[in-house]
Amino acid sequence: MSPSAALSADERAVLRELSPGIPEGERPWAELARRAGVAEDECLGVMRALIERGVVRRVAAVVRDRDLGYNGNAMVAWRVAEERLEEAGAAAAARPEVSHAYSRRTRDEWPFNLYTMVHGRTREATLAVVEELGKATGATSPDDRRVLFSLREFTKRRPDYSAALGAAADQSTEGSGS
Amino acid sequence: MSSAPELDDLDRSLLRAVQEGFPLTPEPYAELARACGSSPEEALRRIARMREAGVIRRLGAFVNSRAIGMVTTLAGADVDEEAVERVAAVFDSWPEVTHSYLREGHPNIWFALVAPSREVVDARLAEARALEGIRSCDDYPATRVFKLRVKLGVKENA
Repeated sequence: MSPSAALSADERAVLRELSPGIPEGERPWAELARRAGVAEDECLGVMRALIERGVVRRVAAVVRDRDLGYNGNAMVAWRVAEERLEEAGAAAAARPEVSHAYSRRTRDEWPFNLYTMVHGRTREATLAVVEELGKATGATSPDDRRVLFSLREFTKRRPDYSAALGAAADQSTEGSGS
Repeated sequence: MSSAPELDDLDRSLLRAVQEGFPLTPEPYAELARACGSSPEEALRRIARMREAGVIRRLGAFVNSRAIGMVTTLAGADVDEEAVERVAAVFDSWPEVTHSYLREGHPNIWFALVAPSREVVDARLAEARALEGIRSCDDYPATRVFKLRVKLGVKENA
């Protein structure tokens, strides 16, 4: 499936103009529609269709962790028995402290197949969640998991979708380097 | 980078609401205001202020990269202490890199790539391996997504 074949021209236009973020002002969808060259109700219809199809996961805000006191964030790499992977993923997903849970391919030197992002206000809080998840997933031995605390954030920005969507007309709403 | 600004109860209430979802209606701030016991003007003003201050890092659509034909992966690089700054700067200069963190242990620099093709990913990984100070760099593409939803708890006195 080539990127452009998956989306209609209007869908591509709306997503392209939405890339920098929701426009400022009290009627942002009307403004977005204007930039995309469609009517406001068409724009909202496009958004609903994209969500329905799973192309857009959600339209929402991401808040800066540190402003909410989250200083114990860690990526945890787990080694879970293959037959328990589904169950382990579900257990992780059920926890509010876990924002991301993926299974990933392994390598000889790095045999961990399940990755979870755990957000704790403190290291201790995160480690407590890891303990509980270990019990739920059977990965109870320290050898079965690596708790990789974040030491520094170098880069965190939205993806560059211009290869699939083209470049937005107005880049000013949100920098892609923030 | 701004220091953490003061957030009052209404700010926190609005943050909870917008993390949940931004309304797909002609007057989204009226809806947010109703949910938080405020006025549309106040909701707009406060959300704009929090976007400006960087408290709200991003407000927009979260696209399923694979659904629009992009390739995504997570890579872990094992980097010598002295080379960490320089290598991190190189990774940051690549538009395909969306996230990059220094973490405890080895590999120590973990970075996410979103690229138009696997060829582009492979080229970047080859570039990474050629950097001075990198002992190894491998990627771990996702096989299944169990959860992908960042929604942080907004306690009253965080």
